[in-house]
Amino acid sequence: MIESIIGGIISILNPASLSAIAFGLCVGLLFGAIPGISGIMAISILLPLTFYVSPLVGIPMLLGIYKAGIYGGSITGILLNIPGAPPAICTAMAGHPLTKRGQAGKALNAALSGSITGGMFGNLLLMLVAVPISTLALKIGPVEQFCLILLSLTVVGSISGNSILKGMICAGFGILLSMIGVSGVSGAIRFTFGSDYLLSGIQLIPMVIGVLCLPEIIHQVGACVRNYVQEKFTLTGENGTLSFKEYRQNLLLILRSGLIGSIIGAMPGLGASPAAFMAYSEAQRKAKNPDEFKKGSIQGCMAPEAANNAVTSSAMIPMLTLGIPGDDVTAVLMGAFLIQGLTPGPNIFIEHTSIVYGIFAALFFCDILLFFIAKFGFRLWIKIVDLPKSLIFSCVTIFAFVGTYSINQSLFDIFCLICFGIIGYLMRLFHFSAGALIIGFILGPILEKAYDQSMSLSGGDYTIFLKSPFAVFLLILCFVSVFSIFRMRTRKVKKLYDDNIELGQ
Amino acid sequence: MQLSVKNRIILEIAISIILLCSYFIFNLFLETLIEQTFAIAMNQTLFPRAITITVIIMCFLLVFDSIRCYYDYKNGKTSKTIDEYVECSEERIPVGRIILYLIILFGYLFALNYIGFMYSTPIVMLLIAALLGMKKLFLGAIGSIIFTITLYYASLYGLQILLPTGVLFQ
Repeated sequence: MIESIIGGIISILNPASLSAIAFGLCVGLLFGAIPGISGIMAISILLPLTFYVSPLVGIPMLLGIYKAGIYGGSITGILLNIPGAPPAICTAMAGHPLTKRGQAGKALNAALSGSITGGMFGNLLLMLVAVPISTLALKIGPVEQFCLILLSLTVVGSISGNSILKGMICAGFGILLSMIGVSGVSGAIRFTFGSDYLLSGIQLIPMVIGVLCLPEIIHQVGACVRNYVQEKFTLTGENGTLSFKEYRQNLLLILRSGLIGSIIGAMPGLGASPAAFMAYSEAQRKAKNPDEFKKGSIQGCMAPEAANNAVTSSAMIPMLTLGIPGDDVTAVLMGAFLIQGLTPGPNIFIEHTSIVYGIFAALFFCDILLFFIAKFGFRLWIKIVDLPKSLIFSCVTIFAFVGTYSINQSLFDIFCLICFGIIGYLMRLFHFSAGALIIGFILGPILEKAYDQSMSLSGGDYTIFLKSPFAVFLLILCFVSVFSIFRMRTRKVKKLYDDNIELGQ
Repeated sequence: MQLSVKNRIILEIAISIILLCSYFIFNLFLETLIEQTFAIAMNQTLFPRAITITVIIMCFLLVFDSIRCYYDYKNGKTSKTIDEYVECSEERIPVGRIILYLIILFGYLFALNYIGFMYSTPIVMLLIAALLGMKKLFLGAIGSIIFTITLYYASLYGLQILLPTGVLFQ
């Protein structure tokens, strides 16, 4: 393992990989800092670029965007009280009051140190946990894999979005979309409606950019453009910096928050926002003076940042070890792996050991470089908010078109992009989950392959799914997960109704 | 366009019914939509049908859920979904601007095919910027021309991709 780690570090220590990480971090910080544009938009737009470079250049770049996009949201959150991304809401709650007290620099540095330490903690955990899980996962056959994907679809479909039904409909729609074209198993031509363009199926990139990026622009077309009021801030002196003593005093809190983030991140469908909220409330609960959090607190900046950055690494545990993306960002990252011809799952650790360890090393370099790039560019990142949105969104539209066109040099892909943009906007309007759609689209072919292999093994006998104890356990978990989520929501609704009656009385 | 809570719930019911009908029709014609290229022992429609039927069940439950939500709202009851609709009812949907944006996108697709990337992109960028409220259109025009030329040559020399030149100029 040590040899593989050293090999991974060496493989990433080259100008191309390091500059790709730095580029990714800058893009992530830009997109994260601008409210209305998220890191996942940047990842989806730059996803086609990875097609033209080696895996250890393209994937680290996307990881850089992911990590910096999460942190970038806190800069505008602290300075302007406008979180660039939902995971930064708690950071803004605790950090903006500090800005008002003239301690913006301290808050920014506290959030950054929390992010880096939490991120490093998550990276370490990923490295330690991923290999043993993948070794265990190697013993899984197609029957168990089918049940495992089914379980992940029920969990993801039910957690992503407010309605369990809508989430599952989206996941199902994604699976059906993935079936369009020539079947890889039987050679049958499915759902092409006689169109030659659809024979090769729907491409991942137009779909991802279409449902993630264009709906945001369409939404912004209707939103009013706001001018933000910036408070003056200093990055020097006691109020502008975070001392090592302050960092050391809060190290335990950061590590605890990192652990919370790592656990939540490893669970499919939860993501960075719940991790940040949970770490924030845990830090508040443990604080000597919890009321201080509302008036501004560096602990309140460190805890959510440590948690949401730890999520970025641990979210890759199910994706790398089992081939199951837990949320929309890891689904897009999985798309990047597939573009490079790498299929995430237990075999990747055997077939592409150097690349996997290179990616682990890249995660550490992302955090190290993020520290320097973010720290020395605070003033620059905040200036980004002043850029006219009209300019940014027109550029993003063109990037989306060029990125989509670049894969197959096909105008049909652009047509698909626009269609998915419309579908994505309608889904957003009526609260259907785009993340569940993408996960369904990516997992669909794997699910079908596992199903076909299972049927070939059993000669068409469905009881094969009941013969393996692990498969039965996973199937039971599927039912339990759906049932428990239904019950949990019904209880919530009932409680809300009871509370209303009490209030009414 | 601003939807009241009641209209919003009715729209949700309509959407769930449309989804249910669409998947139902899709399921009816599923076999005709799969063309077997060579003989295989396994039933090719089974897996897609299983997924479709699952989705149909979910759609049916969604219809039921939306109707229940309508009666809850009518009886003055509250729920997380109704609260969400109340929140959404305050949001204005600028249908005209959105349609205009989509027309620009489809226009861009046709323009890419006929006049190519170089000529169509600055115009499209300027139109989108104007739609988003850009005031300094002259500066915007210069910026969009520079952006287009930079992107064209960056794609050509950096990624070896020739962006559409347009059939009229080939």
